[in-house]
Amino acid sequence: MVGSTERWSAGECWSGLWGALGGQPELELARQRIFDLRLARALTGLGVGAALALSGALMQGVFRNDLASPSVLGVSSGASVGASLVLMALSSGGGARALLGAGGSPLLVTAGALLGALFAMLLVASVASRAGRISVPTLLLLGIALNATLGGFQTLLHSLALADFEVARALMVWGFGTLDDRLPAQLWLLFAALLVCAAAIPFVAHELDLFESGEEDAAHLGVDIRTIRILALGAACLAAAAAVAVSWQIGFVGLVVPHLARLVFGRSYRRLLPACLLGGPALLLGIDTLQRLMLPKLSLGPGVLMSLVGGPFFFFLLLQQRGRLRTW
Amino acid sequence: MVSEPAPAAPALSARGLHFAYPGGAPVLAGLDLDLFPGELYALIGPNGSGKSTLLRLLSGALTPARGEVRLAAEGPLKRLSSRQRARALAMVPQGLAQVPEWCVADFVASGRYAHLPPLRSPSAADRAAVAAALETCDLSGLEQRPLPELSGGQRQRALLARALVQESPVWLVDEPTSSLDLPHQLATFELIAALTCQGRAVLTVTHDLNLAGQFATRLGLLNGGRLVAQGSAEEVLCPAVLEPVYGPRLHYGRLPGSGAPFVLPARG
Repeated sequence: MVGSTERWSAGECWSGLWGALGGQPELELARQRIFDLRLARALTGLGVGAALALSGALMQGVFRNDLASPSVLGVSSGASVGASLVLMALSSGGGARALLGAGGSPLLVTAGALLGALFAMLLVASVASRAGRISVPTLLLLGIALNATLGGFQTLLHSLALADFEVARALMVWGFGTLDDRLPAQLWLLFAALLVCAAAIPFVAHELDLFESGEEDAAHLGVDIRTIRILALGAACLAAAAAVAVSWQIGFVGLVVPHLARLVFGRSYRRLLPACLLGGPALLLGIDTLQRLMLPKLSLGPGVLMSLVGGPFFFFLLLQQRGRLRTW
Repeated sequence: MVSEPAPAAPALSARGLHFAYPGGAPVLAGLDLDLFPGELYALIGPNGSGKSTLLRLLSGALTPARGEVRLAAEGPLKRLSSRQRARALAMVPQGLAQVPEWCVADFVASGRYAHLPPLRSPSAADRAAVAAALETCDLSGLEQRPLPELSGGQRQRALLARALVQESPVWLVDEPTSSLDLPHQLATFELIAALTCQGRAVLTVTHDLNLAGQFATRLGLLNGGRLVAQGSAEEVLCPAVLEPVYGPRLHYGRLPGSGAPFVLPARG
């Protein structure tokens, strides 16, 4: 019902919003409940979209490669494995219900996702550490290696989880990249993480611009390379982990949004990073709405359509970059 | 040019620098070097002699295995924060690892980074410094031109202008004339020489012995990671010093007018 396309009048929406904010309820209880769920879904999409887009833009800035993003580099896969491990560990104590929205420990799941994301990022950064910049072939090979390894690990976890139907079902539903039925605690965590990451923007944006001429050159201008890398990649991991912990992997948001934002706002990270905070939610909610209008009978998360749109987009970007082969 | 009497305190000094790349033979073994305010020091030497490595050690991009680089006012280089170091020492690279798609004015303004407090936008003073540097480096009218569209000479001047707004007393310049035609080579050295007249200490790595001979107050010849000769153009650009390093196939002469020594590679 939450995912349905039934239309609401503007007046009803205002009444629902008023009720959701704690005002005197004007809608009947069941209708208010539906509004609350829809609002939570929209807020989830907003937070996840912003977090993934920001994460992608930060990675692209540090690695100076427009194809970097949490899903391409395997950071989202790392976060998924981390979160799944925590969920399985908690499963005897009701961990499956943490996902299904009936209790549990969203904080632990997010922490697990963060550890997984940091693990994947450390592997990526250790390969990139020599020159700072990641070339396109390195990026693709790293992504293939990490995504394949972590994907295999994820499948193993899924197989192990089959013994417990509830856990297996939870992981399965989560794997669709759904925005539905999130706990208020999960939403709070998502937005708290997003706030922390957004707070890092003013401290890294100008510096990431200076990275454009090479890290050694930026260092000569006075940029503390190590600090900026840790701050930007730490924020990128936290944002990706928070998004994955809430709605598993929604691929390509972190790739597509910074690219579109660059077309509109230019290459400067001082405009690009804030633009991603707005562009991410716009794209994800737009895709979600489109999907529900096109396939009203199917209760699919935006992750499915995002992959169908993002995959070809990634392919298009690769074709576009083919002309730059000599500089790779 | 005649070497000037050296002032007491060097603006930058290196003592006992040792360095080797991981798994490689030592590049430098116990090198000492002083750079004084108001001097243009030309570091010359054959390929692979360690010039670029020395420059990166002096700039702080590499850390010596042993030894120390000190700045007159600030003390040991390694104790400085990135911003402090950039305010004390400007590096003009030979080129950029990647040419950013900025306009010239933005690129030059990026040199002000170390002077901007965190989270602060450029002030009127910052903008004035950028305008003055553009004027000095003959880039007026090109402010809005994207960097990739500049000619080699213009790009070199943009790099110099960016270093100028850093307002650092010490400059390290890496092969400033390597991609320039003859008039631009001359103009670049004239600009660098003019900077030293304002009290800056400039060390430049160059393969051009003749421009070094005409403009540098001191030359240092690096070979096999050691400074094998140091002194005025007359003292360094002579067969006794150069032949052991560059071989015998050189022709020595003096320029009419200034009488500065020159060296040419000669067949046969």
